Amino acid sequence: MGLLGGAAVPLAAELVDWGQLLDVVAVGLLAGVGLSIAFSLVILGGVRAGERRAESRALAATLYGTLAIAAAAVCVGAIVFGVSTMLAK
Amino acid sequence: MSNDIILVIVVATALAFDFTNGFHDTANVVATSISTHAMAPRVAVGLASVLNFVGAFLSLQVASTIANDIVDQAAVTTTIVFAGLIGAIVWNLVTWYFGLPSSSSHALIGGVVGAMLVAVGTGAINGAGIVSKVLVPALIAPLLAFVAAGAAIVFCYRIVGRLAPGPVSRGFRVGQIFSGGLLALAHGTNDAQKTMGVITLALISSGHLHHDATVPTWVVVASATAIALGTYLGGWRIIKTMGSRIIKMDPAQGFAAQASGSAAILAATHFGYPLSTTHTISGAVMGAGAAKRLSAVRWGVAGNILFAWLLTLPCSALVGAVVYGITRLFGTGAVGPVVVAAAGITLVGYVFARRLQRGAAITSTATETR
Repeated sequence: MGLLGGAAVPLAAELVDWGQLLDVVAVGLLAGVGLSIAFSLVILGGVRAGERRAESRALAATLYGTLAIAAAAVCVGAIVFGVSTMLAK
Repeated sequence: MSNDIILVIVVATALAFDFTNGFHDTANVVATSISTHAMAPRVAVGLASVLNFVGAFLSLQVASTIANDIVDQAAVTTTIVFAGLIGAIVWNLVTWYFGLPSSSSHALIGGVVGAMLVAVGTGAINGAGIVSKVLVPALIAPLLAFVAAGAAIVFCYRIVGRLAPGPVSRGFRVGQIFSGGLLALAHGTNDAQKTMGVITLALISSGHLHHDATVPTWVVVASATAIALGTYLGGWRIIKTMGSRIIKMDPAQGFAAQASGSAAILAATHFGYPLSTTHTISGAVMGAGAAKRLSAVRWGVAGNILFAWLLTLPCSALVGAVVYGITRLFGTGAVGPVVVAAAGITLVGYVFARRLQRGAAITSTATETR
């Protein structure tokens, strides 16, 4: 018997799998904001590394370059993880 | 024999719906990349089309929801599915004509539910499934995209705010090639699956598949191709009209909107929620705009989204119900669907030609630079 044809209409609160929806919200927020932060760090690291290199500050340039590479790896890793999780289900 | 003819018409109609879905949504997928000059229009549309196709192969969770959780499979007939599809296509075209940012997904679900109500009654409608899988996620997803994009752009500005604007813009434009691709992938995976679900439902109702069958491969390939073609052809219209209608955002906002929109859509797709990609992307665009300046958001567009959201399910259900009634005037055979399909093709051709003369409606115009 479908819900609309039933005698009692349960509240939406009882019908909805709030735990699953919370997962969607958490993953969506984490991935959306996380990717944006990580890519901003790629840009920060890349631009600052270039500037420090021009100033002949090798150590600082290397550190910023490492930051850019690590943040880029996070971006790529997040996308690969997301797509592979979808393919696995 | 009659059942097979109806099934062929249903599959063709479903693929036509899929095509209109891609055509309808091209602007949402490519507008941000084009407006920030991250990609040339031809490249953006081509990439979106290819990734829409690829995205359709990522998951089958949404297709399963459409086939199993909305209506009672045992009571569905191919004529009901046909009427539902016509209801969705008509509502899509009406909203496209008037530029309302409506949801193709909600139109499809509304159409099938409306036809089912008239044909069988309320007992065959899975109200719990509709509330939990469609209505509540439909409300949450755009809000999630809005909040995520808003938070993302705040962090982006914090991190790159002291850098020279030139390299930052160039960097985010490069990033938008990937975030735009991700958005197209997300769009393809959620939207193409709705067509797969409906075709699977028709195959089950006609006895060609068992009730617990998975989506056949040919259905996946056909649906992926239809939405990719629709996206590609819809895009050419955007190229001609983008100068006057597409929003202006900076590349960081574009990146944040695309990354947040695609994250929300992909997360929901993973759990089988048939979202409105239009509403979700619009929510993300508004979030990225609002975080920079509240007045940059065209709140009227937000109102239109809410208005369309409220109208889509009942209106497409009404059209689906009326189409089912008209089809049944010709009996239970294939004559009704054939007559309605012929009339529909004529009407669609007329409406399509009229609207193209006026220019395409672009639904992502949620913010603007003043």
